[in-house]
Amino acid sequence: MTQGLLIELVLSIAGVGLLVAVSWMLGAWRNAFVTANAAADRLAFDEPDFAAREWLVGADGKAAAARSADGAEIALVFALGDSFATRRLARRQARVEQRGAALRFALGEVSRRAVYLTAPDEAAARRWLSLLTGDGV
Amino acid sequence: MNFPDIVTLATPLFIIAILAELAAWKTTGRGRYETRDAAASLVMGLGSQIIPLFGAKVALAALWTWVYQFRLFDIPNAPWAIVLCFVLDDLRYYWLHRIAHERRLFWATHVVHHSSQHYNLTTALRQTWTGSLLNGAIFTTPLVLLGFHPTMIVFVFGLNLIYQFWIHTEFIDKMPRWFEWLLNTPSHHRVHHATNPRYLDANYAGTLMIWDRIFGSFTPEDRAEKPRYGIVKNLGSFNPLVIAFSEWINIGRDLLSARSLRDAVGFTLGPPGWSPDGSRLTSKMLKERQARLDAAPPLAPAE
Repeated sequence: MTQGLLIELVLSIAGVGLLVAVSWMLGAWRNAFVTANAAADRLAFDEPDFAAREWLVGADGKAAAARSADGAEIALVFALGDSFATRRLARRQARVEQRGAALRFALGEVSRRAVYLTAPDEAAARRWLSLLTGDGV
Repeated sequence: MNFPDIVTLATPLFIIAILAELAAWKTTGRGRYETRDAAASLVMGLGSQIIPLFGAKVALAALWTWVYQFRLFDIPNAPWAIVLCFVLDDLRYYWLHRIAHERRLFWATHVVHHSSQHYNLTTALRQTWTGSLLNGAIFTTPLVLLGFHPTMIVFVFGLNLIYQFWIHTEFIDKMPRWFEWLLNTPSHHRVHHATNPRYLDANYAGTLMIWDRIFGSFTPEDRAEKPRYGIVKNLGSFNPLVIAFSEWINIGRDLLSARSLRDAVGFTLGPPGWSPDGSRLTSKMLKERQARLDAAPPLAPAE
């Protein structure tokens, strides 16, 4: 690596650092809060043919889940920075487990291994686990 | 004629422009910035300049030097040749870009640029770490064979990249009508980055918008439908390594699950979203789904 290239590299890294620092200082490090309306809006855009029957919105505002009207599918909406992402899972293939008051949805993706959804309490988590994966109706 | 490394020379201007856009975002509330998203974009941009130094640039230089011996014409390094080279390189860019959206093997490199859900000047710098060798060898070599010197081609491509920087903003609504007709603009490129079904697979131009008009891929921005940016299945991470390689890993997983040669070809050279059983959605299928829904009564609300 030549000296000129090294200087360019150092200056570029400094430039990136400067921009990230300024962005943070201006308040751009923001977290979206998943509400019922926000989740429904996002799902309606990403999966417009998903008819949600019932929603569980996480108490911590990090995720929400819906089961479809026909009970065959689950939709997940989770926060990513100030935005949201969605996943649509076939109910039979969904890998959901309860961890205390939280439900863990295993996605097994490179970009996201799992999504955690915090129910109001353990009983609610148990009920939703049954709705999403068992025979609950 | 010596051609300067204009992308490196333009880097301070990129930084100043991003600082100005950040200040404008803070003072006016227009546009959107998120620190982790911007950081990821900037690191991807930095990596895209560094990683080719470890082999791809040398390999391309060797390939083009060898091909240049067999050039069809002796094109001088004259101003007219630079203009011609720019126009032909822009046409090359259009088709590379279009194929990068229509064929998954190339999409795996280009998806990086679309993986942000934001549309600001940092998004312009969110560039691939894995595309330079493949794209350069396949799509740029014909220009060398025609007789344009490789240094001229690198120079005009640099001009094209710099042009495309400023169009990644929500701060500019529309340019004058003649400008919108001839050149790529923030409005046209917002459509290109949108995931709204009606906007998918449109506006592939680099600098000259005429290519989209000629080849039938032009879609104007409709003020009634605000673009929503990102990819159809947005990533769940800001990690630059994940952004750079996730689609390659997904292709690898799909190839391991392929049951036939047809499946393997479909997973690599089919459109993004192709699957043997049709369970995933391509752009065409997304547009068809939207058309069906638009024609049907609205869904009943959730309880």
